[in-house]
Amino acid sequence: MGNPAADNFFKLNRKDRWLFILAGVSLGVAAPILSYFGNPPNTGICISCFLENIAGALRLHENFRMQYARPEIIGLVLGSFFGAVRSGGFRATGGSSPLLKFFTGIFLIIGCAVFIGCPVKMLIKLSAGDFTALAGVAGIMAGVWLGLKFLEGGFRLGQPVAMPSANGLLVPGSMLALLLLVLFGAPFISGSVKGSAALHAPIWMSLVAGLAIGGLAQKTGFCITGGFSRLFLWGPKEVKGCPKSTGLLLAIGAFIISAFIANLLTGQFHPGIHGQPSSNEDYFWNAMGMVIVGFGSVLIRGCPLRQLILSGQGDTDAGAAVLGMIVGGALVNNWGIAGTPDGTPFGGKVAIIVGLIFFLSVGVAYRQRGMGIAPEYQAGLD
Amino acid sequence: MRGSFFNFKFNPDGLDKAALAGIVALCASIVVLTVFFRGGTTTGAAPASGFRGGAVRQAIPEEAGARIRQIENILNGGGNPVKAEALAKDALAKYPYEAEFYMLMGDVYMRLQKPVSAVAQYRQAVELNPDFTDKTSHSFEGGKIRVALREARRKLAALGGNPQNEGLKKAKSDIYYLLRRLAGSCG
Repeated sequence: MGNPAADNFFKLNRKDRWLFILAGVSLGVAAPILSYFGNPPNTGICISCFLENIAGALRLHENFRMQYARPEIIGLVLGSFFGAVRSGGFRATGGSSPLLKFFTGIFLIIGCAVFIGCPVKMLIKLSAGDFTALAGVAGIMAGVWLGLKFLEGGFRLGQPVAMPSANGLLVPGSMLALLLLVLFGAPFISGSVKGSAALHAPIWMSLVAGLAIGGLAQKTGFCITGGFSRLFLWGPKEVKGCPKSTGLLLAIGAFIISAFIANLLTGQFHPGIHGQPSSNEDYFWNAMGMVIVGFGSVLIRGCPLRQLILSGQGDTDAGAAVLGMIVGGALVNNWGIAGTPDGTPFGGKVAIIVGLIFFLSVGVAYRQRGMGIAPEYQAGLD
Repeated sequence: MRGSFFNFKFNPDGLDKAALAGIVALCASIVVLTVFFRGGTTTGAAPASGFRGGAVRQAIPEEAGARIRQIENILNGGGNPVKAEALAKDALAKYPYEAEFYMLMGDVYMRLQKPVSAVAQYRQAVELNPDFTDKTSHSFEGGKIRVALREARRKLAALGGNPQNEGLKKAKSDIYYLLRRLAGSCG
């Protein structure tokens, strides 16, 4: 993004500033509205929950309360795809440790499932008055900080290289196929009749919200962990001096404020700790869940939402992460790893520790000692 | 490839050493967790394959069904709740995994004006059958449970007491659990 009309707001020009704010507001307004019109409470948009739903719809798991091909996810990928094609940003790339990103995708969903929500939902919960989400905020900050230590210590996945364009169409094409299967009522696509997956806004509304958010997130590079990570890079200097850092934090701020207002206006703001939707009182494990989400997201250059967006604009490595997240969505349900209103199950605690061991091992194994932040991260620390 | 693997040189710096120490500590913590803290929280694990979409309802034995109707008749007809309590306790001893009896026991305690005990029974019922707090299910009993929760909170507030008291902690835990269940979850 250029800087032709820079004014006194750090180094972010006016047009870009509004674009970032619009991206945050679109997410902040859409999520409470989708909840108001049928999505589960505080779950207007949740990448991890929705990917678990999609895994269930594809019958990769048997939790009959978690089966629904969420149009929001389809919309996010397709919105990113159309946005990238329109702006000329669609580029099929790959070769930057795709298999590692696949496994990282699995652990990202494990972390999210223990916390009961992805980073987007964490902020939605907070804006709806669920103060238990603060444990997640602390956790994700710690995870991001940990990830950045490895990035600064020479962690690198390898430069992505250009690939034939058809490769970049695989994930958007799959999402389009899934949409068609849902619209035509394919008998092998499951849909819950009770439980949280039975709660959903009208398909068109979910799809439109997903398309709009996907397009704007693609344009701005919106990423929750990416925004948080910038706070740790060079502190206020980074936030002030780098337009993208300013923009990302502006978008996150706009997201939280607009979600708070939308929750307030739709009667979904219930401040407190006890009895909140999608929560439990295992604060330590909730925080640990977000530690691995923050850690893993920094290592693979983006939170679960960002991985979806990247996969839509042709990044096949992010596509591998998305497939990993779908597999993770199946595993957390089949293995009983996900957090429940009762607390974090034993399997979830073990999975979190295994996830941390995995990321620490990856951090050590993929380092080039004596080197700084890799060029692919410097190009845009998503 | 073989040669390059064995020629692998590893000169750990501070970050490597910290990470390796972390890995060792985490491995040890898995052992500690497995040995000392296994169990506890119920999992969100899927039920056995074949039980899908609420189309199949678990069969209640005929005798249990008759007992349920008998207790309901006593409660609905203004009968003696103490007698209903005895019948429900007897049925629970025989069918400890039948959620409906815990629900009835909760109803009995509500009739006996023991909302805290009722909430404990409702929790047992919900743990066995989450449909009781699932508003998309025909078995949804949210209205009844909310009344019990309100009464129980009022009673606990009136009683006061030591916050460290185990009974009080358990009662609050039951209340918060049911509130979270009623609030909904994406899991």
